[in-house]
Amino acid sequence: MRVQPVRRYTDPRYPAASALDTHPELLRLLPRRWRSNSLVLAGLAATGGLLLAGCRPSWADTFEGELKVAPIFTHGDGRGAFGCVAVNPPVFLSEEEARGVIIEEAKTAGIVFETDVLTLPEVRVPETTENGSVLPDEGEEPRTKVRELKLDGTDRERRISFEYVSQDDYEAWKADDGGPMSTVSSFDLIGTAKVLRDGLAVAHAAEDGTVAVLYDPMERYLEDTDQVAGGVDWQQAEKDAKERAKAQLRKQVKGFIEWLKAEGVI
Amino acid sequence: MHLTLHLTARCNLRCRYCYAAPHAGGDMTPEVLRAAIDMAVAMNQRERPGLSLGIVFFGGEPLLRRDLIHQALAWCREIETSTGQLFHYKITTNGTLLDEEFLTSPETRDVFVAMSHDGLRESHDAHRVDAAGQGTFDRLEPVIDRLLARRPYAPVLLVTNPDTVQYFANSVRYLHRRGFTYLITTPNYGAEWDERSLAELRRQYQSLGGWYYEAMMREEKFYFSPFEVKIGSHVRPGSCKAERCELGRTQISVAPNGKLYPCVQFVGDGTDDEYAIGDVFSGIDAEARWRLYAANGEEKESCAECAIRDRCNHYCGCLNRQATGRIDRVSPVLCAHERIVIPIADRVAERLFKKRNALFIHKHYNELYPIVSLLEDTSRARADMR
Repeated sequence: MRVQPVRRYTDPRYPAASALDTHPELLRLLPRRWRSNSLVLAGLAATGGLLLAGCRPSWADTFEGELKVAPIFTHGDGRGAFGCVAVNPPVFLSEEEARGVIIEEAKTAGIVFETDVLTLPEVRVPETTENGSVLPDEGEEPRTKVRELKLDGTDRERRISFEYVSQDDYEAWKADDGGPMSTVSSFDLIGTAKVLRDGLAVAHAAEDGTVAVLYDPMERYLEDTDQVAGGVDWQQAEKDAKERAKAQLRKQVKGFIEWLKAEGVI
Repeated sequence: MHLTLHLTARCNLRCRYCYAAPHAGGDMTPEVLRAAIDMAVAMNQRERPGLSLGIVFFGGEPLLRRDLIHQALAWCREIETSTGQLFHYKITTNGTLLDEEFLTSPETRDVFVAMSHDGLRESHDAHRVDAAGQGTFDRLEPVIDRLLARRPYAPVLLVTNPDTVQYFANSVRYLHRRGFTYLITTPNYGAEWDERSLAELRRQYQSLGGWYYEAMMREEKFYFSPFEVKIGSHVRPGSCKAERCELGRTQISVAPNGKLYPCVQFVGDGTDDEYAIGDVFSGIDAEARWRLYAANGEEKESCAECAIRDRCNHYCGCLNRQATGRIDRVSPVLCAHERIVIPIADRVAERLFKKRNALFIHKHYNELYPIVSLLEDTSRARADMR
């Protein structure tokens, strides 16, 4: 066994004590027991702790919302690679293609997703790499960075949202150091979705809500690599793969709907 | 400042992980005891004038020499009367000799009692055995009741080992259920931990993360050292380093033979000269004391690049010594432990902060929390008396 320095550690999502300088109203939140204890209240008053009770609405109550996060509904590998040894690369569903599928499938349950509704100010988003898995080794922490996250769709009335992890997201969230150079570019969208899910589970939200992280299933061009021997119509293969991917994505949405029902959200 | 008096090297137990075994070194004489206190009073008045001096009764098992405890308390009270020097007292005991008389006698009732106990019977009896090899769990059951009836805030000290780690979380829960609210736990850093036992330790901490969260949500007031310290290290950056083992600076251990050491873990049978920093009769070797302190404060080469080094216990030279034999060589077990516990503590804290858990916020952000908490305890005690 050796001493193993931690190379990177994402700043935890709770503040340092210096936050009290700008948000002293945090201390106006009182444990229930204290509220009816005259000695404690007198002590707090004497030390200035209750003088804050009249402060304007602020940080202490801005992000009190409970964000319930659905599990990942695993339909589709969500992994694949391009490059010298990748003989059967994946196709990607764009954000737009995926949104169409998700909106359509959600409508069957009466959920109406709109875009540009909900932005979460600070979410622990995974840092991606083109060389390997986004998921950490057993016992390690995933590489993440706190970013603003505009969710891809929200039903305003029911406060149900989704975030679709796409190739574009994967590129946008790439780690600064990018990892080692390689002739193969690999994508781990399902791992990205899992880490993002955990980040959303501790994210602050202004209101209660429910959110699911969906991901590009990354179907391969060919269902069977033996097809290569007989010649391949690559355009048709891409179309077919996208249809298969859409079907998998539809299953993810169905899974989300069933979960919403089980949770009593819809 | 704290003066730890190793009243005796003898112990009535034979705990299998004891770093002080084999308990050679005899008992402290009254002359050594008095000289140690006089020396500490002089140092405290010079270095921390006006502040209370802590006297810690330690061993071996200090209750084997109850007479020396009484002598020390009497001598301190005399000094208090004549010089105004304030004192506070603590004893760390295995509990087997702790009786009603000690807990209630006017002479000793101000002594803060910390008791060692490893939790569930399976865990406790695996290591905390008497000279005949018998577990002491049953013997301590009535002692716990007695102790908590007289000292409701007595801390309990739990050590987990690779062969008992599977009981760790339930042992903490057990002690909490028994009424302890100050739970101080540590792995045995000197033991042979492997990947399997460390994976189990991680599972146990994860389980304790859930327990801690639920208890905080119920607004139960308690202290669970691994999480409190690690959360504190983020809330108050630098606190971990600032509160590190002071290696002879603010605490001095006195071996039964009068030799001075920077921490309890160095004392042994009092024959080690490498880390000795003087003796009670010739006084403290200031140069050796500061040399050790400075050496311990230097950043360890192995940790210089670590992203969580400021939140880590690797500054504790005593633990390093216990595990690696050197204060400047960080224990890989300690490193593994910190990598396990810090993220788990952070996830719990994130959840509690997100919930705006009022107790969590006051406990970790309100500098006056100890005072407010004391007021609450006082009002509860008054209500109980009525």
